[in-house]
Amino acid sequence: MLLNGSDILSEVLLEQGVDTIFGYPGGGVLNIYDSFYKYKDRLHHVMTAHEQGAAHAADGYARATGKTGVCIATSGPGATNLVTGLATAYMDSVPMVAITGNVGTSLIGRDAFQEVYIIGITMPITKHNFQVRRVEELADTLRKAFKLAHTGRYGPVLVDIPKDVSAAITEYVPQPPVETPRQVKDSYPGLEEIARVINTAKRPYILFGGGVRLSDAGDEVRELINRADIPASYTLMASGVLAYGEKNNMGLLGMHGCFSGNKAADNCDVLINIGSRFSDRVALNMKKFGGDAKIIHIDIDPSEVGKNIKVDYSVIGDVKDVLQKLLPMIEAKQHLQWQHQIDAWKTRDYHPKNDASVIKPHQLVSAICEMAGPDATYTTDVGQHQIWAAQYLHLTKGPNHFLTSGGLGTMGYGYGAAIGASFGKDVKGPVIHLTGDGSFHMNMNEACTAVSYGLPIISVIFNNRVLGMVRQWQTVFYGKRYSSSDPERVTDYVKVIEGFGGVGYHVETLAEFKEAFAKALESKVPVWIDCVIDKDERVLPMIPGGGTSSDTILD
Amino acid sequence: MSRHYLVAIVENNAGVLARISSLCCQRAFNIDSLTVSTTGSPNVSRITIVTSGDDDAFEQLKSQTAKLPEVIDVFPADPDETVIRELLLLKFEVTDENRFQITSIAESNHARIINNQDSTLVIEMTADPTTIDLFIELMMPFRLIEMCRTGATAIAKGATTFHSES
Repeated sequence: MLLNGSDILSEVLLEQGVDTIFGYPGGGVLNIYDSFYKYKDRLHHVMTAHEQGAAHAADGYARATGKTGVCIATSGPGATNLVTGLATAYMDSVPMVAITGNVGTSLIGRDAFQEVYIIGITMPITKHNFQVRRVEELADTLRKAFKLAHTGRYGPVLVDIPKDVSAAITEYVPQPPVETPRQVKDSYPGLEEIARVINTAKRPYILFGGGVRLSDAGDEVRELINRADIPASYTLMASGVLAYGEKNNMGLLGMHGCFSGNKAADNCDVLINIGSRFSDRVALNMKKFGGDAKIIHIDIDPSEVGKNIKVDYSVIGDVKDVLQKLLPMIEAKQHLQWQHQIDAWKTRDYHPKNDASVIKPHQLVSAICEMAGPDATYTTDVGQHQIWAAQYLHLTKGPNHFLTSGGLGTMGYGYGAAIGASFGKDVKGPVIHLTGDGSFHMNMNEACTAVSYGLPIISVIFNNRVLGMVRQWQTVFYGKRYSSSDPERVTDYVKVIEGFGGVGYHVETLAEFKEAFAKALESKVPVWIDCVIDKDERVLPMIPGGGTSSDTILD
Repeated sequence: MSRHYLVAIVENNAGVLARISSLCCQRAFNIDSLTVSTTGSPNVSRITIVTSGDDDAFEQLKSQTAKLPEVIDVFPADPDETVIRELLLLKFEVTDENRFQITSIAESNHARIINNQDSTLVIEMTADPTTIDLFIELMMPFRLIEMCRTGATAIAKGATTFHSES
């Protein structure tokens, strides 16, 4: 059938199983928005306050649902506003397709109004990008983009569509939706050797990361941990894979990981990395990380092997499939002596003290978790509150319930992500946005989106009136010279959210918080809860960059 | 630090060179030269990258390049198993006194005089990059006016092919 480029885009989105798109209109995408008007019964377009919010929403939607998130922006500033969202998704391997409009092909390269070279700008922060110069290539290019975003190591793909291409007419041939099955192989070279190394290990340790989440390999990791009695730590990206309190769950590893976990990683004889990239926040000292251990690395991306840490054994593949092939070769074991040693280290783990007179961050997180129930989906911004959330949320329903910007560390991620997650069909429980007063000032404008679409997102603001993480570093490493981290803002959050059309509470004790949060859980509109915390609260434990477990700061 | 050669067989799309050079800059790969050329297949181009660094850095260059969707295949080219060639052009200011000396050094090193004028001389050499480096060093005592050299291009010795045209 003959269709214009914009209708072809709508058709391909439907082909790919897309029903929700996050975006913001503008001159370069007017043709496309005209098509969205026509397809509005089948394609739900969510208009955000800012294109960055749309990109984070597509990302949050993707992380919460496992589907590819889609966002759209106009040319020029619309496109550049997506950049932080694309980089966020790229660093955390989130499947996303971003559509940008551009000026007509005859104007490209002439510095036309709202023209930017978005292909060049996003080259290093997308898995791939395309500019479609001919409408005949549009459908297949979009299909390719969806396939790329959701195969191998997932990531964002951008498709730039000049305005004349979205208007031009060509024959559209529908195609059935494309399945993107996980990579499965019959066997993996070297796997027997790896099994032997694991079976003969005296002090084995596991580090797992986002790859486990992306390949849904939680059960396989659990099986390995239990059968071979191997304690395991994880990265921020894999928070929630193991349930809180589960046997051998050692919590976060790295800069703010627990002392015992970091100690174990430095003193093990075999370190098994499953789907993590040895980032500098985990392998803080790339020369000393893992001590003298033999290191095994399982990852889907060959370029991750040896990138940061030299490893002794590696397997390239989807971690779920690799583990399924590995598990039959793993012997049941008990490592009593090693576990005993770890228990001894655990006695030195940091445990924050409760205090009823003020709001302690760990008590706040625990209260949220208790009251919100196991089905809640949490999003965070970046800073102290993010790490407190990762440390103290008792996640039990899997990693898709905790959405956080790990690799890029994007302040301002959380509200957009919460909006995106709210549109996930299987997202049942409340969507809770944990934020700091610093981060929240970057994206609070999205409250209007939450109001427009009736999303009862609860934003819990860890308000210490300073940039807490910056302040913590300035306290420890910069002689308490608080350069630009104490802005003396007097934002009245209750008034602001009321202005947007939501509800706000200001609380100064845990009891007040619980009362407000109970009301928030019943709300039909977005709620902000401004929680006053002390500006000298710190995230502990902490290992400075470049350090090892011996450098742990515990108080 | 040793010299490594990577041959990438890529889709002949607009922007593929930008992607590879952007990647090298992004990840701080140390590039000595980068050559793009057509092949016998209209849809396929060939890129030869010469880089100095340790084996780990080369491994990263190889695996990161291979990850680009437009890259069809990559081959590390072992200098012992590969014919590697670069083209060098040197222009010297010459006098009647040293013209013969320059010419004879060039010719004894298998370089050619391709332009010979009153006061200048242009020398062309095709060789592997190391030989070219040595020749440049040898010619330094003379009055060099201008120098340019292409990047390397490489083809496997014997029956091995990086990209078969058939």
